[in-house]
Amino acid sequence: MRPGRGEAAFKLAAVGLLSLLVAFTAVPLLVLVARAASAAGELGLWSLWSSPATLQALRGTLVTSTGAAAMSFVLGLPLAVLLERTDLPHRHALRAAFTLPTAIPPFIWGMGWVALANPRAGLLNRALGAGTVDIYSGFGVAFVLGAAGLPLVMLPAAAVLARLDPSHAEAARDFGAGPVRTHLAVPVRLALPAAASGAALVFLFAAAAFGVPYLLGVTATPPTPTLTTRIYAEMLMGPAGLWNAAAYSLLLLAMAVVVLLLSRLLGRSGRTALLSGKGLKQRALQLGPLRTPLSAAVIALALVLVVAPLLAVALASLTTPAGDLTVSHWGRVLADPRTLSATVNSVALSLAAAAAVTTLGLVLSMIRRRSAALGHAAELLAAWPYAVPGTVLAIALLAAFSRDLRFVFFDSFALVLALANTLWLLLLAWVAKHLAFGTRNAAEGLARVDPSLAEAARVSGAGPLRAFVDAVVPQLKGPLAAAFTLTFLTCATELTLAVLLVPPGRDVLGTLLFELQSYADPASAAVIACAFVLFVLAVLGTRAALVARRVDA
Amino acid sequence: MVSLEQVHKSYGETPVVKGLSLEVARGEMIALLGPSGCGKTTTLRIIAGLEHADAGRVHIDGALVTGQPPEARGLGMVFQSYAIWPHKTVAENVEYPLKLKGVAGREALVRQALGWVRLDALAQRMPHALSGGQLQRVALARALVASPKVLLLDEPLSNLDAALREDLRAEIAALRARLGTTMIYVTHDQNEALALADRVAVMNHGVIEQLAPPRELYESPKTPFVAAFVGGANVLEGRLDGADFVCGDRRLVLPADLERPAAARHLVIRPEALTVGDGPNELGVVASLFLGHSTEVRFDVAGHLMRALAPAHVRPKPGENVRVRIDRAQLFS
Ligand SMILES: Nc1ncnc2c1ncn2[C@@H]1O[C@H](COP(=O)(O)OP(=O)(O)OP(=O)(O)O)[C@@H](O)[C@H]1O
Ligand SMILES: [Mg+2]
Repeated sequence: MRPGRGEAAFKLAAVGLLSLLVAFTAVPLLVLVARAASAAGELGLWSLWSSPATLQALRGTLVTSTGAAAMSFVLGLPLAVLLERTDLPHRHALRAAFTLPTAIPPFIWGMGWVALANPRAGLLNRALGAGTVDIYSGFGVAFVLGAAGLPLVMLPAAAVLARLDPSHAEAARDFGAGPVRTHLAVPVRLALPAAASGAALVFLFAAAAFGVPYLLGVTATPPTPTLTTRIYAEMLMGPAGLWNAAAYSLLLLAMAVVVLLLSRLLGRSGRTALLSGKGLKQRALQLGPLRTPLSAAVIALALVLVVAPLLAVALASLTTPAGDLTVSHWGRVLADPRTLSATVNSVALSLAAAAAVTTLGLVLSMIRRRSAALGHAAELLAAWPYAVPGTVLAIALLAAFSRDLRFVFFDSFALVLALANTLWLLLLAWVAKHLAFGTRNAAEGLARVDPSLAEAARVSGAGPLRAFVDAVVPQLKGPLAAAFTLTFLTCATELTLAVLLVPPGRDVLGTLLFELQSYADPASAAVIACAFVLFVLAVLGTRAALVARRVDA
Repeated sequence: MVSLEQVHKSYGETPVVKGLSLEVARGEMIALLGPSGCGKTTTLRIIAGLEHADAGRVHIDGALVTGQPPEARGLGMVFQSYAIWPHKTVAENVEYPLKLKGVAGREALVRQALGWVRLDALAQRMPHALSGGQLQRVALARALVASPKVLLLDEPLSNLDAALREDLRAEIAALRARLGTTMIYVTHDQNEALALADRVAVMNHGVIEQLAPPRELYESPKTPFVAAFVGGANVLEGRLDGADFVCGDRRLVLPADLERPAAARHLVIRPEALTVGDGPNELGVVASLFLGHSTEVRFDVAGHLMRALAPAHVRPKPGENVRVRIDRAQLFS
């Protein structure tokens, strides 16, 4: 065998796989752009974009997303400082509580707030008098999304604060700065870029959100439509609406690109110079007399933002409209054959997506290791669907696969790709969307594996693939399991892609939840939401326990 | 058993191995000795097939293997970082090469190999519960279990502490006496190379400067580099002027019987070939270090350091001028 031959076979296989990925992820986006442009030919894309309805939706998106970003920034940065740099009590538990919002779909937080602050029947309004707080508004959308996005600001800022080079604080002290300046002003200034970059991501997360604006904005008086809810409305109008939806999607996409670049820029500016060293354990700032009031305030915040909405959902699943306790909702939902079929579909599709994401992640990171150029392509390919708003991804896939595609090979053997109106399209979307989980975890894991492990297997007589499977893959169990769990969890509780892509007459849990909450039966929706939350908590708890056991061992 | 012909290898623009040729006889143990970065590991990896040469040919056991992948070469290899698979037990690690070959009666062979390295008792242990020395013994057993044509070792002892290093060195020598395996042993430690190998190849900047049995290498180095690297000799640059060697503004009186080629540019003197306290040269002392059994005296020769080994009772002070005689030396062009 010539040395080049194995390499050539590898390259061929890699290029094949990447082309397949391009076909299923990048091409739909191009189709979206092309279709939107051609549809615009008749009406004029510009006239569509500048119509009052569009401008109203655009304003809705901008206002709610800016509000959400501002809220998460204003709360997230101080929380990061309090939890990371001070002697605040119960830091560990509080940290876990404030991290929870990312693990639970935003729609459920929205349901929680509906149960709390619905103007007529909300628990708060029952306690304080009808109409005191009204969650059905642009303000409500921003508030719920800001709370749900809080970890996106708090966690990166806390990470910076944890790794800060202590010499910065010491230098400040040497120059005669007081404890508040050394422990607060300096670190906060250094954590600012990470928090700002996180806030930009919250903006993106809020602009891409569909469930919460649909739940709280569309029925508000006056209604606050957003780009995503407009896209959904167009979608409901059938094939004709698809092209308007595509045109709206382009706007959203452009916004996403700009904000993402901005976030990267902010994040990078913060990385320079300040993260030297391993971060010696720092002395925490003694809060002194402020310790008790600050602690009470933070606990109250956690109760309001995290505990109350979840309890409200739980209560909604257990009470009659009159307010009496009942388990009849649970009985009804569990007995409904739709629940069973939706659960089976959700679990099966999520498992398939998780398996595909993990496998593809592993393969893509292998490609990355062996060929820098192909690896770069693979990285990009895996990263972009995660950054693109889910609604845009869904519309792109619908635009690309709305008709059956026929591929005829050698004039005789035809492959018909009929994805439209099947659950396969949802699976495809889930895999594309979460591919980054797989590649990121696999790449990080691979970077930590000593290459001589594989080389020892080669010299022992194993071919390249066998050596990889026998010597390297077993070392990646942890990161791959994490990617699998995360993908499974996210897909099983996913809503946006499901609502847009599941064909009529089929159900997954996300669509069932959405439908019950929006049209029919909020109490049953609360039951499913509770089941989601319990499921998420169980999985996270199991993982934490497993990790703790591994650390002990 | 192994032959390299004019092997070249570059990483990007940087040549790392430059036209290296080497013949290793069956059953022979060769050490590749040289400073860090001289291309030892790269050469070994080219033999293993883990790296492909840009030019040149590699034969193993008479067959041309250039371009063959490592799994087709039938070799054993011990890595500096042990490379023991952490998810397999000791026995499973050792069994792996046999499993790939589909050998029958593997259990007995594994037990035998573990016996060679005295690890019989630890067969069922997981690697994380082993010490560095034990891990490297597992690596030896794994590399030898399938009777490789050649055993390649890349600085196998460099991660171990001094005492363990001695033990394992003796064990490798004993294993070799017992099994007669052809071995290529990479190291930057001259003691290891001289103690273990039948012949030592001293490498510098991607070429072999000298390939010779240890004694010959030590007694008649072919280049100033070999003399300096293997014997720790002093190398002074200069030229002959009459019978003396001139280095900068210093004039050194050489032994009378020294052969003096006209083109000589390097004077090589071993530390033990200098007599301190008597002789025709007067040199300034920079430092004198008491080593127990002897004293190392450091002189300044026109801005270069020259080390001499003197008996322990000789203790010149820094700044003093001391008489020195060169008993033996070598001149190189
Ligand atoms: N994969 C690589 N890419 C680029 N340069 C490399 C690579 N591997 C080795 N080199 C360079 O080639 C030169 C020789 O490396 P090699 O590992 O063979 O040295 P060595 O003699 O084994 O040194 P050491 O004693 O430090 O292990 C070094 O300068 C090294 O930096
Ligand atoms: Mg080396």
